[in-house]
Amino acid sequence: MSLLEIKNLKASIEGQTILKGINLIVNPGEVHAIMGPNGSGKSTLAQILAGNENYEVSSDSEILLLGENIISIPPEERTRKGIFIAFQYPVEIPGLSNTEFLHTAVNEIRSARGLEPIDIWDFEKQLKEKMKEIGLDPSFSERSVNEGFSGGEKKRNEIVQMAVLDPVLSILDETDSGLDIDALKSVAEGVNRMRSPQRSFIVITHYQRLLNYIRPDFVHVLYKGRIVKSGGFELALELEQRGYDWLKTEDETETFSVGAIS
Amino acid sequence: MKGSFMTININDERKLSLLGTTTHLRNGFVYPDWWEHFLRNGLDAFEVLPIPHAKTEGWRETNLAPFFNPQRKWMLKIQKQTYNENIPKNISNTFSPSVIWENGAIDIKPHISPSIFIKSFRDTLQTQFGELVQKNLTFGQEPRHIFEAISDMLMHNGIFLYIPEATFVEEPIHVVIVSRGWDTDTMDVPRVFIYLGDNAQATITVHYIADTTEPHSLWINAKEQICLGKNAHLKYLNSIQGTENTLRFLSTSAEIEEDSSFNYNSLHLCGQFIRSEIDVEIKGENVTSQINGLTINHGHHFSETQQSIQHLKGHGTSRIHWRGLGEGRSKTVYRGKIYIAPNAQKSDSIQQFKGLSLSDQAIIDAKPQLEIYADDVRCTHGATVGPPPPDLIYYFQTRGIHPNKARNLLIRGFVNQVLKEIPFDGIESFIDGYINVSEK
Repeated sequence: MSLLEIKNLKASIEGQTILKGINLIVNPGEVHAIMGPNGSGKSTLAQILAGNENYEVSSDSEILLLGENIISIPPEERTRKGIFIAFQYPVEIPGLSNTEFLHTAVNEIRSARGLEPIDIWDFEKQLKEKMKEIGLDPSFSERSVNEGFSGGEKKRNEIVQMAVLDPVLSILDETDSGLDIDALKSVAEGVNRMRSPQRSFIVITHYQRLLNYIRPDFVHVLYKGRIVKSGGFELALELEQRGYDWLKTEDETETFSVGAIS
Repeated sequence: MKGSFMTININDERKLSLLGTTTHLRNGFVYPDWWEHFLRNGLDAFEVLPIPHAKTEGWRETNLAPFFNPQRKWMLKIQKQTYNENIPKNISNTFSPSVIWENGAIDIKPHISPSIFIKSFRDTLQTQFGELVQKNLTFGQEPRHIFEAISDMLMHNGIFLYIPEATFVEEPIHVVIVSRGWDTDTMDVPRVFIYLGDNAQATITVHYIADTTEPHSLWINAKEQICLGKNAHLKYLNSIQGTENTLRFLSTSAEIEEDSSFNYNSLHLCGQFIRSEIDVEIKGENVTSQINGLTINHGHHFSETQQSIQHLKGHGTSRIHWRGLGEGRSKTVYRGKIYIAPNAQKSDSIQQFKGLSLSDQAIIDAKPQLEIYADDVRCTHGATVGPPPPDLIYYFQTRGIHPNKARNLLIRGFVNQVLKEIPFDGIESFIDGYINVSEK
């Protein structure tokens, strides 16, 4: 069974159609990169997968997670089922420490899975270990979530959260934007460390450079709300060399069949 | 129950109603002339000062109808002794009271350090500090409005806390003010006077507790007066825990001399009506003043905070950080003013208010003000008010946390931002019962 299957996903916000029929299959263990120019709908796709209720999703759309249609379930339940989104712009939560925040999150997820809650002291130890692995100072566990963090620290903190919450499907929404090379490598290492035959990733990015470190199994190009091209890593290299303009031209002259990769 | 009482009927004929009332206050005690004059002065002010209304500057948001209802008769009950009951666990578990005021009766505990002086005003008159009390009470400000006049004209006693020169008091001193309602509308007029001599240092807390009997109301008209000598350092906390039928007026005035630091912290935790006025006068150079406060309002509660920091001398630093949390149909009002006198050059003042509104009907109204007459100063102010941001709630959800739990964590985070600046252990336990909303 595929881990994720998106069928005919159409979505709009405030009357403006963003996604015009996305089809995609992600099998366990695969890494899919979604690339595309600004405004093509990449982040919308990520948000809809995570359950953002600001978007209106067409009633004939389906998002199947391990065969279950999750389209109408709220974000927190999707997370408990194993979906994680790393935000492009992580928010700051003043006054709430990383430890308290993530400890609550982990225990909510454990409770939903019928597991015993984890003690805060044990949890903090684990959190600090994860922070070290991802190149974030363990003292950040005591700091308010993302408050006063640099852009790179916020992105690393998202990866720490991913590692702690242990999802089956992680969606990284432009996690590479604004990262210097060291931070980019740390983030990529964190992701690669989590790669396993059971766990899948959707990596949304504008540029190919992240994909040098997180090598995808498949690359899809999203343009004007549709996947207009799919391929392997070589497609990312081609996009890096040629940009997106040639796709825009093709889109205007050809009708692409939107193929699912399985 | 032994004690003395009097009734006050405040209406258009208030002059007549109040004549003779000070007789009851004496309760057999012979006041010195200056005290009699002080009471008379308060009464005179009461007779001429108008009752503020919706068009009175500084009182526009304040609904005084529950106080000045002509049908109401307020009984001022002065107990002869304290009973040490009714102290909430969040206080009794955290602090060991040094002094208890209970409707005018004062109980000073024996464990007080001999290096400090704590007595009632009446008992202080017999000591070498009688003059100090007299000087500071009688040369203070004239009553600015009717509530201060009431405090003065009914000043039958008070708690005097004196930290002598060059005395460093390590253990915090805790004062608990218990006001108890009886089987009628009841009034209490607690008064605390704190004086730190030059080079003294202390930590003092004052906790106001109300115990009312439905359906009667309790009016607590309290006055705090704080004087810091040169190079004196005070960490101060007051907390107000109200009940549904408690009407509170609290006036705090502080005078700070040079090289001193004043760390004032305040918690206003619910109650039908709270109006708290804080006036800080920076009277010497190189003074540091920090004010931190938190207001939590539920139901139909009303809480108003009026703050004024006056930099009268230069090189002073003041920081004000106040937060308000409003639920239900409550109303939270914050008015903060920083005044910099013409000669208070190099003053540095920052004022910040943040309000978190937890329901569509809750009102939070903030107005920070600056009045600057010096040209070489740094002054900033800011106020933000709003509901929990939906993008934050969504972020919690994407981490598996239900929106209601997210809301609670956000509230706690909001409150923690100011609590972390309040340097008293166990302070979190004070607000535990006030901030959790249902998670289902």
